[in-house]
Amino acid sequence: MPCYRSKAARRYVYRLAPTMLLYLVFLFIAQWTFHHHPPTGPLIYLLAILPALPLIGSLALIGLYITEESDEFERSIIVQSMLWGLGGALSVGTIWGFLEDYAKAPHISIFHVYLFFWIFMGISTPFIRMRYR
Amino acid sequence: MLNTNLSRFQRRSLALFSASLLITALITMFVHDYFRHQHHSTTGLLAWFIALLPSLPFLGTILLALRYIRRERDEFIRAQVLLALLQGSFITLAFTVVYAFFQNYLNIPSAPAMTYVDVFLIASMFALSIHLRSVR
Repeated sequence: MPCYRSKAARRYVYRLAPTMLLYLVFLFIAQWTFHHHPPTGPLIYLLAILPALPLIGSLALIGLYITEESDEFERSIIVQSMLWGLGGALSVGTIWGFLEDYAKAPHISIFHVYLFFWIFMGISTPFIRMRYR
Repeated sequence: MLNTNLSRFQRRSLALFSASLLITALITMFVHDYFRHQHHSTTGLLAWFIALLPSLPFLGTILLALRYIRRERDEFIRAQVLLALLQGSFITLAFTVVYAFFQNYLNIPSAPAMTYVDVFLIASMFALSIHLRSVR
């Protein structure tokens, strides 16, 4: 996660908070509608994609943070963390995918790739920082 | 089109990268074939180990990519590769999120293993070729 010291990092947090709030609201709307008034026609796709929009927005926000961050060092740390985050998420996703396909491991949603990305990114950041100390 | 102006390091990295992807594909085919036979068990420790095999060369591919980024001396090329990888990861994560919600609400079938890896590789490759073409 970005260091909270720089202005760009603060802006990132201020933008991320309402985006996550929006995600909760959209998720509630989608869940409630599918359970109580199941939609028909193109509205199904629109409602299914609704909670995904703020999450895609959160990815765009981190991209925006990278472009706005003036500190080269911080930018490099976040880019490296993202690569480790993605590497970790794809690795776990791939391993579990094969176990699921061939060894009858229990199914986990593809959504976990997104969660693992943030988890691995968070874990890798302090280690990357430590390398430069 | 193959670029002939690659440094020795870039050529070696490309060869290693291609080899690891090829090994991943070959092992995947072997594992798929192994489990297709009825007498091979799909439970137990051996089954888990064999199912894990295709992911091992892919983990190697990730390490190769990270090693390449760390050791590439051409700042410009490194920046272009990094940008392409980041754009590839944005597209991959956006794909997984959208697919997950479609799966959840529209009951579409689960994506096969490594779908997102394919999405990532294709998206990053396209992003890199677009970047390199735009700066020519």
